[in-house]
Amino acid sequence: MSSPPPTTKTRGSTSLVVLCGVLLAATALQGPLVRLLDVGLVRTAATVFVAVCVQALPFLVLGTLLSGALAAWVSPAVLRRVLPARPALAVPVAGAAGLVLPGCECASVPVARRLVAQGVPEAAALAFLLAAPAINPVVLVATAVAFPDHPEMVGARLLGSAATAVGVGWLWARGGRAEWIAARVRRPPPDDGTPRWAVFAETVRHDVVDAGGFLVVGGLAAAVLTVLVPSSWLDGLAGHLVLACAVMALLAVLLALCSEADAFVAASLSTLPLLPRLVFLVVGPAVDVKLIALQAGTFGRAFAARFAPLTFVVAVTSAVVAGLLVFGGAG
Amino acid sequence: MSRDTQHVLLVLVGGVLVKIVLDGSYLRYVRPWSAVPVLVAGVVLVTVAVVGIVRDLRGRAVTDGHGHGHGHDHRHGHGSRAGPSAWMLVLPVLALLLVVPPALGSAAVAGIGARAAPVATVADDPLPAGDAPALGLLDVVSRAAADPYGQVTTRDVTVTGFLVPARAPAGGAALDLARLVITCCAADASTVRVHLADPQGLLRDTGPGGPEGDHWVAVRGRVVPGTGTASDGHVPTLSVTSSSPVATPEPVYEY
Repeated sequence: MSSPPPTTKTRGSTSLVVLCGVLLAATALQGPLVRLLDVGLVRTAATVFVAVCVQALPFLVLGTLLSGALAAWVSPAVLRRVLPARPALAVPVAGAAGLVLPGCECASVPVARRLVAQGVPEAAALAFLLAAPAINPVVLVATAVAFPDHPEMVGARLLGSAATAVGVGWLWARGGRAEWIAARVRRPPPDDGTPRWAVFAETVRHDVVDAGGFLVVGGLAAAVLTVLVPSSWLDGLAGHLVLACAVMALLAVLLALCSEADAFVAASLSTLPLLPRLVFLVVGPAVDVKLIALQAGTFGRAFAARFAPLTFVVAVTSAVVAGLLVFGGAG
Repeated sequence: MSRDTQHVLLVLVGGVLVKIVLDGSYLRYVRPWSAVPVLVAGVVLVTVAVVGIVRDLRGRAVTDGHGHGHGHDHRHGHGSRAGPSAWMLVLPVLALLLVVPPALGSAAVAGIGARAAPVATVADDPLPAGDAPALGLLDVVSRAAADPYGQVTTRDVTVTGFLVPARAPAGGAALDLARLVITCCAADASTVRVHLADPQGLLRDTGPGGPEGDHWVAVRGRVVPGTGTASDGHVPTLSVTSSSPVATPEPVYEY
């Protein structure tokens, strides 16, 4: 950072040349490349990887558009007026905002980042980050459709995810440190007479390029794990409640399914009791490999290394407590 | 990564998103309703990149006139650079420009698609009129689950799917007819299947699909009454009266 940056012109042409080189080399090697990717598991993984990217990119773009609009047109003063000043109160309010915004994991990360940049307390922005993908109307309806015989699943999911968002927010308000979040997140948008629409376009470009690379890393991890995690993991879990909860929590992290789709996967695992499946539904939207990669890219690695384990523990605990309360047992 | 490279990369990413919607290959990865979001995302990315390029050209023209381009560098200095992770965006571009991975099929049934599709208990609404109406595989399985002695056991229906080795071979018939069901994207694919009973030996010479491709067939037949319940894992048995190879349907998944 302290060394003077090389001039834009030299570096610019270097990376552009590299990009052209990569494209040309890949085109020249197209035949071998296609054959390489056409072998059994690799082919499945390639399809899943592209599917995750194609599914997630529009939501990421939507998130960056919201983020850009926040940066360009909503001043920090407005946000301060809307949110309660005390973090302890701002956290549940921000969490409730997630309830009405039909977002998705990938969309809420850039928005939460922008909230932090606009001076919203971190704990509140993080509560929004966790609540928006987990308890919005689309997800709750999908859950109701996937579990027609168990309508109580919707309430249990709402309870578990809300408790996760608010719980993590409060814990962060007490013990979180500002320096864990990369300094660049707080850099305000330029205030040098740049027109608003230009601020908007700059923010969108910056957020997409920044987060998009990490989204691809997450998609790659999810694709490999989807192919490699043997389905036999789930056999014989029915009788072991604690083990089933642990495996389902781990699966939620590894498979990185969209929060709109995970209820259907959970519903198909009908040999398991409801409680482990609820753990799957509460953990998935809060922490998975795709999200960890996105958060590391957006807020910095130091943040992700602390936030992901914290969220995982709080989510599993919230899900188990919510399940025991709503189902009155394993379900 | 410099601003210029970021702009080129965004044009490429946006471009492939637009391309897969226009040529229809997006249906290998996501559901039909995703066409609009994917297309819009592609257009937005290309627009953002073009806006950036135009602003840079104008900015450079102005600052070059001042000699050192100081204002330009100050505004767009290292803050507008992207880290090395941005290079990962090249991967989906290459995958979609050069390879275009195929839709999941019989090769995925043993692995990722091993989980069974959730069977909704639907009302056994009257079947479409006509001789052996075409039904979706998921529809047949759902109807059998709702009423194991319902209309699909008393009337012929036509179902399309690809052939896979039977999960529970019985009575010499070793084939299941399968289809993949996706909820959001191909990453959440799950399998729906019916077991094929083949008293006339129509499928004797047909095997399950392998690495070379899937064997898609349209099968006419009737569900054996009493099958497709929880006891057989919601895999009804279809007694085949005729079968013919068909092209891969479009869209390739059921929803």
